[in-house]
Amino acid sequence: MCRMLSYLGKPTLVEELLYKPDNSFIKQSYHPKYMSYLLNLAGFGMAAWDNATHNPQLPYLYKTPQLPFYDENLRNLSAKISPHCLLAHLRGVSYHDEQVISNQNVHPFMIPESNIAFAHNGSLYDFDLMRYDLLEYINPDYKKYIKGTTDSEWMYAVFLSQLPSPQGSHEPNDIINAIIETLKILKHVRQKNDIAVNSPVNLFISNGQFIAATRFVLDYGWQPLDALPSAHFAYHSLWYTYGSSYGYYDDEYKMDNGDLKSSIIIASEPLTEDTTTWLEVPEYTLLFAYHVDGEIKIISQDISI
Amino acid sequence: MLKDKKMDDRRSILIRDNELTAQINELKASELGKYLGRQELLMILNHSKIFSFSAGEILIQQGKEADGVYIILQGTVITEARIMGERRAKLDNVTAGNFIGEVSFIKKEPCATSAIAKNKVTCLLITYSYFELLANYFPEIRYKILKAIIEQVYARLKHMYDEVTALITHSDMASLSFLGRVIHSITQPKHLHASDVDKKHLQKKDLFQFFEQHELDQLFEHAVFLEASRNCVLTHDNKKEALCYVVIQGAVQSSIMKENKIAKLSVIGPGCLFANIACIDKESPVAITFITCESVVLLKISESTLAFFQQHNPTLWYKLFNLICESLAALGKSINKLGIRLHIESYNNR
Repeated sequence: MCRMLSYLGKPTLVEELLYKPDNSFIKQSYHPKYMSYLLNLAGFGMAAWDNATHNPQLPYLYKTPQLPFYDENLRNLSAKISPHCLLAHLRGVSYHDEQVISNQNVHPFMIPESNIAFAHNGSLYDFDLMRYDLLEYINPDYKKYIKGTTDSEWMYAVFLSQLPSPQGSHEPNDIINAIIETLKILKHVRQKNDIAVNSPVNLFISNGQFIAATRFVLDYGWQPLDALPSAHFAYHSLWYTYGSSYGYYDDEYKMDNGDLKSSIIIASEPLTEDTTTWLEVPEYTLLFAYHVDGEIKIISQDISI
Repeated sequence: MLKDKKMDDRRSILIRDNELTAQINELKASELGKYLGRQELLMILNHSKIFSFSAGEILIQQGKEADGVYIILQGTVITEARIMGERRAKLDNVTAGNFIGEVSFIKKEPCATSAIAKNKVTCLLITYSYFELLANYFPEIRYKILKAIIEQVYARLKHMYDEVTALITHSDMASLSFLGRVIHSITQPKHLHASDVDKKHLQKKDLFQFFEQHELDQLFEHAVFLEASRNCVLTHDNKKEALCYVVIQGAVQSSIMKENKIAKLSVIGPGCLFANIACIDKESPVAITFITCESVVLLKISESTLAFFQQHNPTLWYKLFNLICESLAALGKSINKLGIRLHIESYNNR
């Protein structure tokens, strides 16, 4: 049910994150270690920020509804670009013909009026019932950009609408408050529509200068007793690792433990089979990572709404 | 010639007997010896292997699955771990009589630490397969082994708890507001009538598959179904009750509350059992608060019910005890994780 990967730190070749580790991100599309019963085959997207490129505040955006492990262009590109920040998403949806597999539904989402990219792992139960009640909370300027059929794109529009400005640099509290406000709006609109079933909302948000991520479920633990096991009823995982630089050290991909901790990876699952240098983020948590004097600072906050 | 062979046989039996006696004495002096008698230890020895390690040899490796749990008979073992944000850290010197790999054994997970022989080490390995076999043929022995293991798990948990509470005290975490404290103190769980719970579907959940039908019948007859709204405190610091709950719907958060600051440990969702520390130690200084973080339906197994099962239905009690141990091992892991996070993250700061 979707996999996400984000990186902020020393410029790193994308293939070191997407292809090289033993539980690489691309491998998670067809062989996810967690939630292995649902593959992530409904599209791949990434936003990569590189200060050496033209217009560095905007990312290189790559999206495809095709299977990423057959994508030669992605493979070649990954061996060439070394961004300091990356937000990648694998879309996983249930296997039935009502699902819309298209470029418009591939994350991360990003509208022309903003430099913030947004990706989501999860699903809002009965979204069709609540969809149009969200319009009330969306800045009219952003409505026209909603082109796909996912709940995630609507959440992105709600989130942007809670920010003081969709452009430029943002204070950590602006982003944190906008995320919390977005979750409160979702909760309120669900209550209005009598929706009280487990709905995971793991969000990844970045503008190349920060990564914000949530591990959160609305109405966790509430599903019909006779419900069949489903990815929608689980608490989706979220992990992170941080250190001085990410790379191949001592025969494995991991963070090096130099004194200046300047790099962080936040991901749905660890990129390596060996998870000893990773930490699982607790449930109901918001993480915000950014640089202060070249060092990664991590703000974590319980989400209690 | 025949006489010489008989003499040799007798000598080797004598040596083996002496070795066995020495090994039983070593086990008797170990954590296992607190709970198991001589005959029981002899049985374990006859079905388990003894391993020797030279200085520097690895008994278990962090991140890898072990074959079971070791108990050190002779020598000293160093435990160490790679911890995120730090270089490899030496954790402890573990001496004869103690277990190695006990948490991962209970949780059936890859080892959280590595263990390396400091000098010549002799260990007994209780394998997973033997331990599971005991459940069928000698459940009481299995229960006693588990009691010995959980005692060591609990000792480590207490140590970690002390470290983490000190970190919380000195942290810049926001304090609970007056309103927050009031909300926590006024919401109380309410009894649900057993007929309001769909037991037919409930029994199909993974956790309940662990029990026989007659055990489930007894469990549902004596335990109590409760419902509670969000922010309801289920266990109080000052009330040391040996009880446990099963989450049927909703979720419960375990936390450490210290000087009006609340630090989240983990969230317990549907189909999981969680136990109060008092199940292991009624006088425990460890205070874990369990608060509902969603509205919940719970199955409460009170102290008197647990005591009743212990006396009248030991098989059911052994199974519950197994789940209690798993929940306490998970709690220990959460405390450890919180400790790491408090070193790295700016958590719930003012």
